[in-house]
Amino acid sequence: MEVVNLDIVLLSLVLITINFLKYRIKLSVQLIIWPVAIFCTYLIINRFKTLFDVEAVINYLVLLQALKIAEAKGKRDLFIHAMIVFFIIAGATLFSQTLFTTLIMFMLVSTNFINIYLIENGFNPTASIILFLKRSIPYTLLATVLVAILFIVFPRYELGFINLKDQIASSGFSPEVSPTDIDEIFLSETKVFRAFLNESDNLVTAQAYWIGAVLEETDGFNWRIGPRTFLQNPPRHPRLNKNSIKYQIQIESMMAYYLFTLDSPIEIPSLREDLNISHVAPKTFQLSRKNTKKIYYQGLSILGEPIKSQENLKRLLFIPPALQSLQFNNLIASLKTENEQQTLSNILGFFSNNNFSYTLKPGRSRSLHEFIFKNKKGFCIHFASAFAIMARAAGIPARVVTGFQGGEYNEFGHFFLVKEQDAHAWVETYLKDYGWKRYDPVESVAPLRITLGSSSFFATLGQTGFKLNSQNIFYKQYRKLVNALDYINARFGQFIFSFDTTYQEKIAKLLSINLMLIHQISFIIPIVFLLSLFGLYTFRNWSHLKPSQEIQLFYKLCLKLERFGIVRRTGHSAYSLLMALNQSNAFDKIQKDLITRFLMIYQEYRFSKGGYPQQLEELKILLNQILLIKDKTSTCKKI
Amino acid sequence: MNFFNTFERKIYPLLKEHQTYIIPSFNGMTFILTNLALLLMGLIYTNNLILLISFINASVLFTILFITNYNLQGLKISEVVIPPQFAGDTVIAECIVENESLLWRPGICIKVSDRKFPTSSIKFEIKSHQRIKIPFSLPISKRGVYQINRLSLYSTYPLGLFYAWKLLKKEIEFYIYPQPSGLSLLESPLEKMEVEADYVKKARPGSDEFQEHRQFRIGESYKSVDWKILARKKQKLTKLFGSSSSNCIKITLKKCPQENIENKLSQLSKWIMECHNEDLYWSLQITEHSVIPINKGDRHYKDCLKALAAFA
Repeated sequence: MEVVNLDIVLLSLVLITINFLKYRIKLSVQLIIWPVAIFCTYLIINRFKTLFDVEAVINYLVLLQALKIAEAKGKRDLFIHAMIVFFIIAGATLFSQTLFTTLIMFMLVSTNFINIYLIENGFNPTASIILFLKRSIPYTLLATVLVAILFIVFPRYELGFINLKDQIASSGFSPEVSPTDIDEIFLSETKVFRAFLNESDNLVTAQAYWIGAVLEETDGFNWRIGPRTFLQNPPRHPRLNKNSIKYQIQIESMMAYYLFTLDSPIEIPSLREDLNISHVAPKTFQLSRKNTKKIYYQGLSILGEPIKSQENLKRLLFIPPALQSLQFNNLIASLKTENEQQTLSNILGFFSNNNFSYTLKPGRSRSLHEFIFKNKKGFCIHFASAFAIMARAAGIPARVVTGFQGGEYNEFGHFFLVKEQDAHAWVETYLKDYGWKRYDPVESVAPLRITLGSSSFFATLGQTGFKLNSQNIFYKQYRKLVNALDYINARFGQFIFSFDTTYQEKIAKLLSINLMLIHQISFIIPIVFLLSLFGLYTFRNWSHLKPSQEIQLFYKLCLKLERFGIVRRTGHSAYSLLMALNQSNAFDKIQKDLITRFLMIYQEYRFSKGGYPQQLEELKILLNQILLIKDKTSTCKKI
Repeated sequence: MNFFNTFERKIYPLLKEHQTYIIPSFNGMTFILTNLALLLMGLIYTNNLILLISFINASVLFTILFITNYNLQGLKISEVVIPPQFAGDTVIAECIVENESLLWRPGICIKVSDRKFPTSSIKFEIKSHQRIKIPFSLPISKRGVYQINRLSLYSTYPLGLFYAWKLLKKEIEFYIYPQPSGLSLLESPLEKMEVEADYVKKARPGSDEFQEHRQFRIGESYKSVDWKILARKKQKLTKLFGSSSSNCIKITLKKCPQENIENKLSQLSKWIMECHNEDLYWSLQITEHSVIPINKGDRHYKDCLKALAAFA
């Protein structure tokens, strides 16, 4: 979203310039808009290298919207501007999907409809929005039902004909570790994923190591994923294993690419959607193509159990020759023992006994030498990288793992919320008699970072900006409230954002019907909706379909007058009947007065506000008297 | 609106009077296309929130379809009055619209269209059980006999996404008289002649006796107003009595000094108006065969002007 905001600022400046030129210098808008549009298109292409990437499209829409406002002259221009707003709202959902953004989206959509109403009726001073909203309530309620039904039953066809550019969008987690390029990191509150645990399972923060990628290739300090080799699937353990833990992960960040698993995964994550998973490195799972919605998957891991490897691990002993120096070799020689575990303990001891410190502002360490022998300040990736290289130098196969450690436990939903600030790196070493074992060198220099988790640890250090004591009762209540809201957000996300064909299948199964039938319903529903609207209208107006009492009396009078040759044509008012009556010779003066009185009262009763009930009674009496008038023909017939 | 005018003209013979018809407006089509694009976007990106926006828009579209249609229910044009007027003045027509429903109807328009003049429309609102007179001007500047064939009530309320309309299939004929201009009666080369005795007797049964009523004109003596009629019918009429004048004017087209036929008709119109105001007898001869005999009074005045308006 940062990118979009920057561009909005840029475009606002462009707009101010346009308006200045338009009104001050009186330059034709068309002359300004085209060069601005071409220039901004060039800027966007230059920045994103394409116009078909989601971010580029969003920026381009913002541009179009801004230009449209600048150009807007009449109703039609403003209407098209309102239509573009829909696309911008839709585009924003590609970047962020939370309960909060959904509420904002609803507000924007409603505002846009009010905007359209004002565009249509703005010139009419009596067009009241309040009245419109009041009138719309029953229809809105019906429309909401239609929206809900369509949302549930509409088929989720996958139309993937626009391929998204493969890019890694996560900022906290990175599948490459480059301590040489970083002097300082900022803690980000952005949510990455939620890991829901089974009711019976428990996980302490110190054990919660979420693997993102396992990095085996190094240049001496920086690490990346190794070349693709034959990868053995994680060993399948019986599900009844005591230490196995089953969890569901809901990825919060959009454009997810890596599937995080709890250390150590014993199964390939199972996605609900029909998406392929690539196993790109040990314990590293990637989606085979880019996805823009929040993905939801299941994982199975075991905690604290060694996993033996059948692979040749010689490549995990590689150290770039440039790193071999006398000082480094001497250090390794001093730490190495015959016992591998002892050697690794010595390396950890080396960090804790030699004034190494854990900090987010370590300054630049350009090489491993600079970090170990000079700077001695760093955060997780410095320590993990140094530890792995030193283990390799001591003849122990080692690799760096990046991912997340800890997270905030939510007691309401029994899940861990992992944010970007929980990003972490650690080391896995292979011990001949044991198997793969996790070592976290940060634990030796800042043990509280691991046991408390990132947020609490940095809160105690006062580095997050929230200098609140975690033991403070108000802070505890505040956290409880935040967790409750996050739980609602998570549940909403689970249903709304991740709703797909799998859910529809469940619903179909529940109703014991075919999925195809559910999809067909989505096309029938709008027709049913329209019919029900007309039904509602007819029902509401049932009593009004019959003419009101005074009109019935008036019709009776008209029938009577017809016999005397005074015919009322459709659309003729009571006044025109009165004129015809005055010209007619069929009635004497008293009879004419009687009918005139009836018509005057009828006119007053019907078209005045309310009318008096006595008038209706009077109309009835008058009509009875009029009906008693006998026409000449009937008298003749009787004779 | 051109599209709708053409569309309406094409299907006009098939349409029924007082029946409400509805089609998406240009904005409605844009809205539908936008929504289809959103639906496609939601499917491509498998994004439920975009699909949700699309469904909301679809539901709004359906409900607006209904509201716009419903907005015309119970409305009808009871009467249309277009009094004869002189060319050059703003032509005002009056339409009486009745709302038989229980609800207030905002954003209603009356549209009048004919091949001879551009379409004219006016927007108004009408409360429940109300009967209102809507005056609207017609963009007419030339004399002639006009006919309104297509008069419709339409509404695009509330969001302008649909265009609902209702027709009044009634032919309304009205006259636009030539604009009075040219020489006055005193400067005219018209002949004055004695009226034949028989005719005057017919026209004036007795001297100084009540003859007929005429609309009150500003400047006339209030003594001649018929107060009984004013009290009874609330119409201000002047009582006309037999005049002693026996002067009669023979108005002919040939005597007009102008060259252009329209200007000649305008001259005739002016003389007729002056004769009427002076309460004189006059006859009108436009061509050799079309002669309106000597007479005076409102009806004669109107007949003469109508003949001028209809002159081809």
